[in-house]
Amino acid sequence: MKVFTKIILTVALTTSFASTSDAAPAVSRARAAELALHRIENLVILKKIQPTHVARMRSLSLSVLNRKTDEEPAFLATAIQFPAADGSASSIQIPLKVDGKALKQVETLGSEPVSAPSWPNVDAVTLAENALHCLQGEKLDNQRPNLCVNSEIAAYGSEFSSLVLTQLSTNTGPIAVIDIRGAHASPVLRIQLKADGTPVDESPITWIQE
Amino acid sequence: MKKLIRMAIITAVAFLGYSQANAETIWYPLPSEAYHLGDRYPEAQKLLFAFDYGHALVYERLLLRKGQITDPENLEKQILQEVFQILHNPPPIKVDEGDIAPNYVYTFPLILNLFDWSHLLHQFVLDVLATSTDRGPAMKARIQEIFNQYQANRSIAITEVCKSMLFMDGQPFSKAFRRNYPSFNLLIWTYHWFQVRLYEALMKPTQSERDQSVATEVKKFWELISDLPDSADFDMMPGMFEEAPTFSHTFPKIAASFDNNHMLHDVVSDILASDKIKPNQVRRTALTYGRMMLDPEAFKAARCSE
Repeated sequence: MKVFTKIILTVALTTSFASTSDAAPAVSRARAAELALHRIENLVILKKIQPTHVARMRSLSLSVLNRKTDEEPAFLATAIQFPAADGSASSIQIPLKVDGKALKQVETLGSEPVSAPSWPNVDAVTLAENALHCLQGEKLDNQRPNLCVNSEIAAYGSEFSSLVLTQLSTNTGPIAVIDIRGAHASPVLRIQLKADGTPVDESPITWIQE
Repeated sequence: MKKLIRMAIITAVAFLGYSQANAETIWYPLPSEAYHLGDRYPEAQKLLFAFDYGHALVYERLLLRKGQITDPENLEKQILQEVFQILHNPPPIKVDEGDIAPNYVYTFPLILNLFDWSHLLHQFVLDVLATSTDRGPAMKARIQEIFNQYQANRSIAITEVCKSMLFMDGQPFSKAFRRNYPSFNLLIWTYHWFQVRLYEALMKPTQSERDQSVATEVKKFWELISDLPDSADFDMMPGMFEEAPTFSHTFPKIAASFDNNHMLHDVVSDILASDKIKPNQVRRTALTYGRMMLDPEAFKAARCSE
């Protein structure tokens, strides 16, 4: 009888887990954010959205959505450009399924931004992609040991909430400062890249207390 | 002293001769299963031959006109037309790249050897999968045997250590091909998708499931390229670990080596399409990136699946 009860319980639990659609997504938040950026790039290449979404992106945020089935969006990524004088800013929203597959985007066009940095080598989206690779434990370049294999950085990958990209002028040219926030991680993770997308020579990864 | 110098020269010459012989893309003896994929799945096999032809053709066109292309959209249309003719009338055997793309063969000597050697591995693994009656230890051991023979030719064997996306997308010339030739890029990614899905289809447990799956993937391939660029909905290059999970978990090193092969194809396309690489820099750049594909440490990924 005990064995029978155990079998019934096991079957019931397995079935209940199998039919639960709000189980953890198959991809991490950082991966979902990266896939959203790949979608934005692709939409620009195919001329389906304005090219400024790649060249002038200022921030990317990611929300995790409640869903009833795996066909519904599990994430919502929002990429926003630099604001115009009237306060408007062009943006694009990309919903993604649980496996990171992008669904139909919503583009909102704002007025021309007051000022947006121009990136001389690689574009804003590629710079943000490189930072997101680091959150997933990938190297920032091929020259030095992997600085991104680190449990503190990994926490920003699993808890990724947003990133903001700004340009800083230095004696050796512009650098990209990417400030990353996690849903439950308190200091801001800062990754600094040269304009070609490789890490700056001194302290490319730091934490900033707000 | 003279004797010593003479001996050193003889040793060096012998060593060079050995290295060269060892780098030949000749698989000897041929596996008994070689090219039997086409006996059971002729359409899939011919598509694979057509892909090799299509790759070589686009590389040759881009190389010959490098630095002089003023209207990439129009060039893309022309090349796509040529390639679709090949896809609809595929060659029945593997075509020698030297016959259709002599400049590409001259400019990319190392990468060509890497591709040729890797394509033999692709072919023979598919041949074993298509001819083995079961999916058990004997088949797995046979595939491992073929992989060991592939790896033994270290000087032209693409590494089985996964590379990060930075290798493909983080170079000064990266993404040039997909931005200038979006439809053609999606066609190439669909080639890769088909090759990857073919492995997965052939891992199905029963013969009838395998036959049905291969037919499904062939049909899906034609659907994906039916109305480029809209019909192929890829934001990234399809990867082995995502698209062929059964095969990749059974043969992780082979899967990684195939992913690296596909990445190198994209790197070649970008070198040819990018304005940042001048015509006189192509050969040297190609050698540099070809060598990275032999180096397990270059752009080594933290893990394979993402």
